[in-house]
Amino acid sequence: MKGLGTRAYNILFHTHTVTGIVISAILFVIFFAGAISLYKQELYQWEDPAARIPVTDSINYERLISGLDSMKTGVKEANEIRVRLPSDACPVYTVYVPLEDSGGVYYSTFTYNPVTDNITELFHGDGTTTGETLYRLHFLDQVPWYIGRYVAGFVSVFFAFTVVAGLLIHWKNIVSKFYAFSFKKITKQFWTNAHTVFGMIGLPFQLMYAVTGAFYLLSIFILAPAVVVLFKGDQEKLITKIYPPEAFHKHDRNARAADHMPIAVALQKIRTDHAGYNVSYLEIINPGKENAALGADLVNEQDFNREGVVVLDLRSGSYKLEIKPGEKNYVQSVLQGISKLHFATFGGWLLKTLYFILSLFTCFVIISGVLMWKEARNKPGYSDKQRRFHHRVTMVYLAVCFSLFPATALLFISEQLVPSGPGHAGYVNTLFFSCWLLLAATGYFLKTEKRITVYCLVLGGVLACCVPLANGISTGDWIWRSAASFPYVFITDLVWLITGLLFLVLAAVMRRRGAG
Amino acid sequence: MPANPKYLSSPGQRVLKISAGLLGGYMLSATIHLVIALIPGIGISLLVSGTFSVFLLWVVFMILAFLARNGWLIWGIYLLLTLVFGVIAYSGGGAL
Repeated sequence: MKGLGTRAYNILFHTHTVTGIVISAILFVIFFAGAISLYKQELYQWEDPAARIPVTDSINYERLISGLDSMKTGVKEANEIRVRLPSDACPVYTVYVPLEDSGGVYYSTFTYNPVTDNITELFHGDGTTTGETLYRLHFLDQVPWYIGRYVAGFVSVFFAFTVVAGLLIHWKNIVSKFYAFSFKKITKQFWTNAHTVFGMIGLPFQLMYAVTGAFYLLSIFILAPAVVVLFKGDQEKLITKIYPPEAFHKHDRNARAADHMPIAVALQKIRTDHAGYNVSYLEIINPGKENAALGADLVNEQDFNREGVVVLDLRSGSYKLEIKPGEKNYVQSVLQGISKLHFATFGGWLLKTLYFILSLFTCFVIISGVLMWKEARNKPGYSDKQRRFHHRVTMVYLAVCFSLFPATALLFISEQLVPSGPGHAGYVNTLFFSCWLLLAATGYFLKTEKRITVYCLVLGGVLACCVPLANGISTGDWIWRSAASFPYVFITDLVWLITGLLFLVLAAVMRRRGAG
Repeated sequence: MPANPKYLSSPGQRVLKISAGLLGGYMLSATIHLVIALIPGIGISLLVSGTFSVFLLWVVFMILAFLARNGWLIWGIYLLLTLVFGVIAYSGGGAL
């Protein structure tokens, strides 16, 4: 089999190396935090003890909107209030509201607990934050003014580039390296072969994430030219083609206030009219106005991408739009399909587990790439100064990447141990980011790759074992109690415990090997 | 093993190729999608497929820019094609 010519090989090899080394640390953080964010819903009951409640099917939405409005003015004026209905995993109502201030429109996220009748604002205020923090970290949203999002978006594009360039340069050797791979001898060959083998196994997955991730963060680059050139600035026209309910979202400031049927009654009607489908998501459009409507997504969880959507006129009780599941055309299904692929919401927990494992494979490919980069330059052709530089870069990368694990365990622990109340989320986030910085700085001064690894394994292992303890101490739902009553809490605790023990064993093995 | 520097470009050429791949590649990929959106019947589907294919094509153009021997030439080709496709798309738009 013939590979690339010598010139093309060297050029692509070089661009693959340079792009890879530049994006590697950020990409690791994105994949690691993203892997845990896949379980954002499933983690919610663990992080918020008040959410360990059964699913409530029906609430008074008008009261909820008034409640939100008294917390944050402007909710009543919002033209669309989106509600994610409770599920077994996350039995609270999640509400997204677009609000306006001097800086323009921004979205606020709230959760509503139907049992305690409490509304909390997520990420700010006194709400819980673990899942949200990791979710936002995975597109660097904590970096202000959307800079983080654009950085993450371009990292995605460069990731796509590295994946394709990597495929091209390894093309000829993929098969031979696949069979040469062995865990028996850990040498430099191990890292190069591991990089190729795991890179190839994960390739479709990684390319999918590179492209869908780039889309989510850089969609403006895709849609803006089409709107400007093809639709002559008429943004509505393109958006309604892709997402039909948008046609009914027009915010008419002159619309008069009007009575309409209660939203709960309308939801009940949609449910009865479409028996066999699950309503997962509501859009309350212009509530309390003469053009009030209720949009609902109809889901059948057994299908990949067959969601339906309806919009019900709240005044007349007739459907303004009714697309049954499986009846969306291609243009209407594309965004939904991207979301299904990216968030792994089409195959239950087994698929999510597969995604999780493949994400960790990707983290491994990133780290092995960095180590190869250093090893390949650790020879006489390079001056001492250059070699020290390569070593320093590697140490910084490893320290930042590996210390994210103990820091994450600490994030979970502090969620339970920091008292709830005003400013809770702020304290937990400060603790998480400052501890991560501190752990990374300590790791950097350990000087060798091996010592950083053992340090993070031991620290992470001990802290991971403490996660179930923190939950038990804070809520009384010890692991033997939650097993029967709160499966999602139980599994979260159990996974942390197993991971912790596994890491401690791994650390012990590494130390013994080093001694022998 | 690191790449053999004898095959890599001079700094000036490197800047040209990187910018051609990043900026020129994006513009060309985007305008190609605008043009295929004009194909009757299936155009709008192809345009919406751009949510992923713009990025894939962009990556291809980045690779081609690096493989090119002359940075000026590849910039010229990308700009010219962008202009041609852009004009066609602009004059044919509005019908969707």
